[in-house]
Amino acid sequence: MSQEKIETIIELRGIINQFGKQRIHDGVNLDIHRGEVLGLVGGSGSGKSVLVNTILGLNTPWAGSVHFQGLDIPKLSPKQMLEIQKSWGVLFQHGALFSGLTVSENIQLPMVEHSKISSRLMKELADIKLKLVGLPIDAGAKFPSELSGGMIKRASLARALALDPLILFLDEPTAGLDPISAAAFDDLILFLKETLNLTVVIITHDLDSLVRICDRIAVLIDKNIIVGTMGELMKNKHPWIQDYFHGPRMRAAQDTNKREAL
Amino acid sequence: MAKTSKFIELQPDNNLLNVGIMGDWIMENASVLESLLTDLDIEIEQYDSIRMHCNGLENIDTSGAWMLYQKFSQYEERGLRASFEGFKDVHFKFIKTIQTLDKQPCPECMRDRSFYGAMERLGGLTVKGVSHLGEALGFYGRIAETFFRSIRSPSHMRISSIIRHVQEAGINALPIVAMMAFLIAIVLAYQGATQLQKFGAEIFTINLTAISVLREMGVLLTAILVAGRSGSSFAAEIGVMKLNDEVDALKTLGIDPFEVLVLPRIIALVIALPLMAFLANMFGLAGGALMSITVLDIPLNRYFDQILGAVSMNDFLVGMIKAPIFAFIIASVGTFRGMQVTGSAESVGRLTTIAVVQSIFLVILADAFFSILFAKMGI
Repeated sequence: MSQEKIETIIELRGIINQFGKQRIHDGVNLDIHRGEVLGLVGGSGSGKSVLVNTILGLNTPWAGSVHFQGLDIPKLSPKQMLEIQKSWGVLFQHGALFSGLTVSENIQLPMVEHSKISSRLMKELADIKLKLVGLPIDAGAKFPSELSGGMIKRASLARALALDPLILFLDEPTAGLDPISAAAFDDLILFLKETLNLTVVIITHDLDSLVRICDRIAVLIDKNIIVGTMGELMKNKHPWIQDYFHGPRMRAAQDTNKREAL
Repeated sequence: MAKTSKFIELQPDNNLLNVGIMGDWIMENASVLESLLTDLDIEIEQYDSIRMHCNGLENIDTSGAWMLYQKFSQYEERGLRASFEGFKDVHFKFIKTIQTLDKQPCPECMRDRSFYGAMERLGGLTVKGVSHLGEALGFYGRIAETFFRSIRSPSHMRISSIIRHVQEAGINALPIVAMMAFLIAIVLAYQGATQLQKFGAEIFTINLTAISVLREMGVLLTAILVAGRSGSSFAAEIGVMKLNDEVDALKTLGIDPFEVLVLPRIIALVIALPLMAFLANMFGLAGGALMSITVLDIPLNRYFDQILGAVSMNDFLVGMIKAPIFAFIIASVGTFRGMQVTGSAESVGRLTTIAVVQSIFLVILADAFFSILFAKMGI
């Protein structure tokens, strides 16, 4: 990514989100570059999910514009919106797998809805996606309620990948996973990013993930956003950022990462 | 014969088929690509080797890569000499990934469809049925146990919870129950009047309406309405709590879920349903009165005289005695099904439906039983 020209895939300008009298975002500007992993952090209630929902068109901002590859999202017709929706995959915090469908059917659902390929090919592609996210093939026949937390996350990721998206949104993918599964999930995201040329936006509180996989980090703070690499943010003087990036847990996370790099 | 399209270009060279792979091999074009590759299967039969030239390939994703890879391995299996060339690094990465993934072992998970398989499923169903019966018995046992424990130490009786459910299941439903009974009485009276007129016995319409409302219709229709209204909400409320692990949370906090969730609902409905049935009876009689004044031209005082002559206290009691029993059936089935919820949101929906259908069925079954019983007793 370093030598290539930086291409902005998503552009947020002057986003204001307000619920009642409470203003959550006050003029947020954010560029998401093609091929990067962007971490989105912020305290509870700082509006991380609201911001992602704004990009996804699930929430119409009070003011401001969202451009996806040059298209103004809130102003698109439903048909144009559908075209865009096919090019992003979303992993919700609790998986949001459809409980009445098997894992394989969950993965095939976007294909059934949006493409005309044969059911045999759909089944094969679903199997490939299962393998891609590191699930055994027989997990495809299971229902979401029969899976463990880590498997649900993986299955849900496989569904997000069903239509081979350009960009992947992950809402706290490693929350609630044990450290080993969480590290494996980080590896998986890196692997997918490399092999599928994905752009990844990841909301996370997992400092290990931040250190290991994020190219840049966006901090939602004081109703606005500060973006930078880990190194840049470490130097930032804002007290919350100081607390966040210099806390004991952060130091531990960086130590592990250094040890791994050695 | 050379065929061309946006994605594939065929150039035969004696026994070798050169296939130019071009354009975007991505999900969006997957259905076109799939049919193109099927056509290629027929074409390939005349050749003994195939070479895929991928210089013209612009974009590829896992679906395109899978289709190419799969064709490739299929042809190799058939004994054709197959080769790829001209891949860009970015594109080859996909094929490599797919290849490594495909080589991973895949366990067979076929369902056994033989005779033994069928026997096994039948056995499974039987075991499930029997254990289900055991579960139901256990449930009623727990209700009885919790009930007697609560009676011995009234602090275990959740009065506020009972009152809340009386309010929700009973008092909030009064308008609809009253309306329904009123309308049913009108329907009955209308039908009765048209038939009895033929014998000049219109006055007996009053007997017909009053007795059927008091003995059967009032309580039965109230029970069916409550089964649909409260039976379902009991099952769904408890089911969702079960899904959220709230029931387990209660247990770990040393609180008996039967004491706080099941018993208050049952007691509340046993209190509320007789009151609702009573109201239904009164509105049924009112509906009858309206009909007798407007259609039969019988004044109100004669209507009451006729009723007092026709209806005995027993008719009223026969109806009312059924109310608490129906209430117990509805509430226990609803809470039982709610407690059975496991796993997914779908199971809440399924068990709620079962709760309603089953409680209505059991109420009607019990009503039939009572009819026979009272007939034998001569009441």
